[in-house]
Amino acid sequence: MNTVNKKVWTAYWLATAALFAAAVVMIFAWTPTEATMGTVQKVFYLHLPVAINTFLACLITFIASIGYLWQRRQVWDDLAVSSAKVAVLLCSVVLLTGMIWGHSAWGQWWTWSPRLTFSLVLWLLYVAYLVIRPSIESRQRRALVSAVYGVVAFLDVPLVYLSVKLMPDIHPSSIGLAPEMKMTLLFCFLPVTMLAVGLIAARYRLQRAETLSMQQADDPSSNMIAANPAGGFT
Amino acid sequence: MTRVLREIMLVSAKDLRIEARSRQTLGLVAVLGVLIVVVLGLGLGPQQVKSGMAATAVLWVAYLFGGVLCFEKTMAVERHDGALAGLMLAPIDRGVIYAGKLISNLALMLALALIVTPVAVVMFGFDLSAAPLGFVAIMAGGFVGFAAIGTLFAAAVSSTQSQGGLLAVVVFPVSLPLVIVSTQMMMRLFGEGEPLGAVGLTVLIAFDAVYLVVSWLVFELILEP
Amino acid sequence: MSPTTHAIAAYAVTILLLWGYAMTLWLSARRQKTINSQNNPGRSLENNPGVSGGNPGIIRGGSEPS
Repeated sequence: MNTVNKKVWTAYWLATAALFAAAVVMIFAWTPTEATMGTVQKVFYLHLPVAINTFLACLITFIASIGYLWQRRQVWDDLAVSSAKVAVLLCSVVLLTGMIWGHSAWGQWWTWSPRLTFSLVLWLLYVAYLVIRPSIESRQRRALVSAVYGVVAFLDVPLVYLSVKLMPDIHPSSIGLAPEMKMTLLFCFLPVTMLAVGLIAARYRLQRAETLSMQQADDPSSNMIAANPAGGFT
Repeated sequence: MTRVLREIMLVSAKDLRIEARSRQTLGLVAVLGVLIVVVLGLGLGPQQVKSGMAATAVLWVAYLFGGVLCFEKTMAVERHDGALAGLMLAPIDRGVIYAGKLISNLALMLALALIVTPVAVVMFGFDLSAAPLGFVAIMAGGFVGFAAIGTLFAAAVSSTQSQGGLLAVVVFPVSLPLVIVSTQMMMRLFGEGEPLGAVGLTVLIAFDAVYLVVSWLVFELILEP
Repeated sequence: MSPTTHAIAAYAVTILLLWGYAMTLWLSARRQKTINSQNNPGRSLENNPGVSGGNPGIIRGGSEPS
């Protein structure tokens, strides 16, 4: 069972890497360059799928948080943290690529445009989720506070979206895409989603292992090595 | 219905009576608020201070930090001598405890605003007379949502040992939409002289409703002595 | 900086962060495996006091072998 599992995992990651490489080759070699913005528009093909997957990771945190509030089982908390960590990572990628793109298009690293602000607030919301966890010592309490926060933070996302709509905008609302561009964009969703799901799953497995070894270490009858107290950012 | 209202009033009257006798929180929060205004005034320098819109941002900073201290204090009162256990044993709904705490927090924040706002208005030369009612409406909308979230997380966080700054980290990101909406509305109201739009106010009220309902639903799950 | 430099920088950041995180996870998983194997070497009966036939000597309050 375990070796089969391992083989499936290896295959999954190899496929993800291959598809990712194929996507990058496709973006640079096959897709036509956009007329007004030039090469920098190619950032878009990763930027958008990663942004969508950020929402996916946030959604998983939300569902896992509700699961924890409902059943009070540690597995839900482990899943919630794992996807929150991946959400922060993906959101960082969105922010950074967006900033690089913005610097090329508008000549500024940062403007308080609605979408940039939206990504920044989203990033802050989930960074706060990760930051508060180590400060709470009791495991049940930590899971409970995190679950409440996970629910509230996700419900906050539409509010952030509505609120930034009131701000003045310079972001392109829609870009006209050539058929090849649309193809490339659709294709890019595949490796990025696989990568995001794979990262959440891998982080979750690690989180489970850490939780189990922490539970053993908490057990006073054993003299085991504690792995990693409350977990850092990895 | 009236019974529920009476119970809510009982809970918050108890908090406010404690505060009226000790005057611990309000003194602390008011001085903190004034300090924030002064520090920002010094930091921004005479040019920026006179340029107009700095006052609303400064006020929000003072309200946010002061508010978090209020939330911490009203919940910390319950941590002494097992008071929360007594409160939870009382024959009242958990939602009533939430509403009572919310009202105490709003009362404290109102007192804070009454002290800090004039100071900021004077120091930053902010012309409040352009639309005083609009200012009150926007700030009231912001306060209700902020206090709703703050009351919830104060209950969640304060039963853990280390509290310093933790509540602020939890509450600030969640209340950012309120800050964005109200500062945008303030900018339109005072910067561009537009009258208060119905859209902005509706958004603010809808936000408050979302925060209130979610916090009220979740509060029950997290209250532990 | 030209648009091409920007595009390359953006791709470098994305690949570095995402795949770098995958590598970190892989390494942490290996480290965790090592810790677990040190804690219960071969899941031997010795360290599993709950299992019948385990070494009764290390169980707190365990029954003495007659």
